[in-house]
Amino acid sequence: MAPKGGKHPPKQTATAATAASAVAVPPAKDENRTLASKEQTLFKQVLQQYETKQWRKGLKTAEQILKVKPEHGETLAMKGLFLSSLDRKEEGYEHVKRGVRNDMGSHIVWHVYGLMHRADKNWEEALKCYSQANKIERDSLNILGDLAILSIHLRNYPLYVDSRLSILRVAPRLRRNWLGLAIAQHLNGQFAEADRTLRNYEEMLRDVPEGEYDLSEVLLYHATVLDEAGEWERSIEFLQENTGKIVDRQSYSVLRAHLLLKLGRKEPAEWAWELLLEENPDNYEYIKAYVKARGADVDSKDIEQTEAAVKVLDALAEKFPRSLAVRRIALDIVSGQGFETRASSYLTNALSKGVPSIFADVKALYSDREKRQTIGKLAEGYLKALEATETFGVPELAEDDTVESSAAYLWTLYFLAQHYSALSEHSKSLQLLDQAEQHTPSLPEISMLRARVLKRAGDVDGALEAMTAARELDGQDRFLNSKNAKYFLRADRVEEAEKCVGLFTKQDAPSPLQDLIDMQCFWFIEEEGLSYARQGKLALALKRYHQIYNIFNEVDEDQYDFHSYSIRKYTIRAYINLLRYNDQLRSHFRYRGAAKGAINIYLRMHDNPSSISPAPLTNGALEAVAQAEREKAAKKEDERRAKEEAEKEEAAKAASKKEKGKKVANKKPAEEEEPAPAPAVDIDPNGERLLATATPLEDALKFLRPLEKVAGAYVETWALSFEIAVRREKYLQALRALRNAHALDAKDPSLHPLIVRFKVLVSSLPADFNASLKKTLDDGLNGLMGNRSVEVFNAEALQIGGSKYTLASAKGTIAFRGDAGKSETEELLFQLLKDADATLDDTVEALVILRSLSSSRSDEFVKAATAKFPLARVFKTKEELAALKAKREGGAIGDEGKEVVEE
Amino acid sequence: MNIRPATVDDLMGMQNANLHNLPENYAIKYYLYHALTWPQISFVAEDHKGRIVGYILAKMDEEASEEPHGHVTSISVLRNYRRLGLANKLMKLSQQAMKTTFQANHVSLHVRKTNRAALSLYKDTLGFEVVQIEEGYYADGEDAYSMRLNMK
Repeated sequence: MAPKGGKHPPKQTATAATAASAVAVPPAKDENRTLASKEQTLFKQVLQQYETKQWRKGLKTAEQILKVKPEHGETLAMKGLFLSSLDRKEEGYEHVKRGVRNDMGSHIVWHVYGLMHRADKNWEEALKCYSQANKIERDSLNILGDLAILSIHLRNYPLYVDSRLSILRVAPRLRRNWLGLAIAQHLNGQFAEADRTLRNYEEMLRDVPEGEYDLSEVLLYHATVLDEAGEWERSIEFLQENTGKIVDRQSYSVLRAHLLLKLGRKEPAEWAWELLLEENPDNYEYIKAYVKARGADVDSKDIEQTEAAVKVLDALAEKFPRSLAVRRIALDIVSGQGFETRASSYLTNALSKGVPSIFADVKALYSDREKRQTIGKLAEGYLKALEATETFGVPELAEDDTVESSAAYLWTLYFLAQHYSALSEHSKSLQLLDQAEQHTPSLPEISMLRARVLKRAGDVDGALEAMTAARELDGQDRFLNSKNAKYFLRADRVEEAEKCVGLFTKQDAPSPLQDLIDMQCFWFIEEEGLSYARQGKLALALKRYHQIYNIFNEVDEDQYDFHSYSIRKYTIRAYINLLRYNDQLRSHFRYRGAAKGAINIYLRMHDNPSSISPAPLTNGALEAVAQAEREKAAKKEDERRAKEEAEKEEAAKAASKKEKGKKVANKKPAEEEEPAPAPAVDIDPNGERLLATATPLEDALKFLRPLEKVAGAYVETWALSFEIAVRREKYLQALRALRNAHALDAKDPSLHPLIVRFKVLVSSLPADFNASLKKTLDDGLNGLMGNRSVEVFNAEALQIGGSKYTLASAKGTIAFRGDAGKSETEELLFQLLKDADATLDDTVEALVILRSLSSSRSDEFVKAATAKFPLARVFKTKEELAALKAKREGGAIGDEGKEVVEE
Repeated sequence: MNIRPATVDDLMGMQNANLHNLPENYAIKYYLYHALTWPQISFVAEDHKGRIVGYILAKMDEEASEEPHGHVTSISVLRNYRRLGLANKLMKLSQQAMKTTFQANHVSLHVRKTNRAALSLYKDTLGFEVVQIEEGYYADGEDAYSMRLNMK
């Protein structure tokens, strides 16, 4: 990766330099450019020493040259590169920049500058430098190669095509270069050109024997390009012609079957999909496509279509009796008696086999009230029948006369417990679990479910106790361990959670948490963040959210090595998939969760900086803390490195003994070795620096920007965008956020109070506020509120019905009536207690609002809420909680210290 | 349960399942390395809501000296999703793809000596046989059974 050359290009005149570059390059002073022959030889050595990673030697050689020619641009740049590789980055940059200034017409200095930026992941800056180097030295494959990678990394498709064309022009005999160009053209939407380039590529490969994987991949890629271009006919012909050369038969058959379907050739499509189903009858894609080939549509809203689809699915179920997928899809679209029959056979099959996931599997059907009732009725029926006759009591099954094992009874209890928990009938659910436990003691599943039920009922401590019991039944199972750790976190017992996961994390990791961060274990990091936020430990909460943010950067940057790797491996289809996935990577729910958590903290910091504890440190104190941490970390790092070195030696010895290599996680796919940057020392392990920010809203924007880009389909994104924008007094942006949310779901309950708040804010803008802007805002708000007054608008939200709208309307009332609307708000919140659909979370939110109003009716509310949610700890007084604790501990004497078992 | 080939989109879900279930974990880049080298032979099981509940992460052994064979880097199914035969189905699909795409004639895997549950799954359910013990195979020094299944 070192800049090639070393020999000077012919001395450039100012005109030549200008012609080669978009920016005017001032002519370099001769003494900064040329070297005497002795120094020229030394400079060649410098380049070699860089190539062979002899950084210290290289540095010395460069200094030798600089003694004679202290301002020689290219030598300065190379010196900078060595310094940077030797952990003296700042000095390194100084030298490189000086080198660039001294000799702007040299491709070497730009290349070096580009390498520096690239190592620091400043992709945009690196790209600029490489472009400049390329303008000076057009045909350097080395520069072009990196330029190509940077341009695709930054999704600059036109530039990618340009650089790929240049590479091909310089080295047309290397087949891979044709492939690279085809990819660039495809990504740039130049389908015809990509097609042509691929044909040229294939022409070069006439004599490849059949069964070659690399060519097979390229051919499939070619067919995919034709498919994406809408050239279905040609794509299918192409597949036909090349069928003998394609070894990935599955991809071949799937693509072909899709094409047949798109071309409306239903009969051959039907055969094609049926063949695939014979390979794998549990593939949803195959099933749905097969139904389409049969002229029906599983996903259609049209009743005739779905009825037809059910018939096709029934026939399939007969053909593939072991496919649960076929039968499960039917449950989505069938209703009435038809549903009951099919559901019954689906459920009894699973219950008699003791499939623990059967409830989770059918839960999605519960959004349909009728189906929910049917399932409940069926399961109750099974329970009674099993108690009486040891059968499910289903007429269809009566003939085979089989007596169910007693396990069927257990799993039916287990199923019903989940059923009632889903209906928020927690005590009924717990009672069923007691029965199940009497029937089969020591089954971790029962304790696990008890934990979930208690958690939903609001008893985090009871839930934790049950989950701990589950884990203790099978200490070898990491799944139970993970769940137990999660419940520790839900109960805000972070230290114990970390101890718990530590039973399975790598023993040689600095800490269990560090291992989980290194392994990118999102769920744990996010749960810790949430727990710290609940506990008011905002620095640590922010720290966790930033850690998730950083992992997403890491995952995003992982693609870098694959830009060249995939071409070498010919796995282009998978690579294109990677690029597209990465383009929307941060729409992942873990990113959204972390962003929301962090932004909410930053908003709190902005609104009420004095409430943040510990109070932000003064700069001096902060520096001292940071310095101490740095030293501590550096020491640790030294130890770690020493250990690593020792281990490496050990490993090398072992490897030479044994031929076979061992498992190496994180194996680097690309062969090119980068000078490994020293692992960054975390100077802010507890997030104090994050919390000490003077610009919380700007920091919040850092989390928000990616959301706006790739998670615009979520109302929540725009709600967060709105919250930040109003605080930054960017009212047009705030309006835009509300409009985007409105366009997604005009009736979303979280949107309503935001609109009311914004209306109030805009109405009270000072008289000298920009009139035309004011008008834009007013017009926008009128559009959002359907030209209604705020009173009417707020009342209408309430009329939609349901607890979410009751809450929305209460918040709206506070926003536009303030204290004057207090009693009205109280009324609304009490009304919520009567809403059947009000969840525990809704009710807690209502209580928070009441308290924020210093309502005199808070206690009354708590009383009523306790009656409704008897297990919820959040409504209990300190005394009640203490009593509960005493009771619990009294009941478990001798069990202390058992929660984290030493195994 | 929807059982299908794994794509890049599934890798984070596979990683999540792996982290919940097994002590051998990998950063996403290692999953990417599999998906972009042998995209045909890893599979996932997904529940009705699109959550990954089981996976097989597989590779081809690259030693030119030996005849081509597949290797299971990791396979697991979330505890709640047992008894659906998912591991079996995932393994079979992977083997089929190893055979057709890469002409594999056997598949190998490693398992911790102490991991009885996994051992019985591979041996009794999936038909693998222990071929040798690899001493100190794992980072913590534990031995591994090297297991193998011939494909006809």
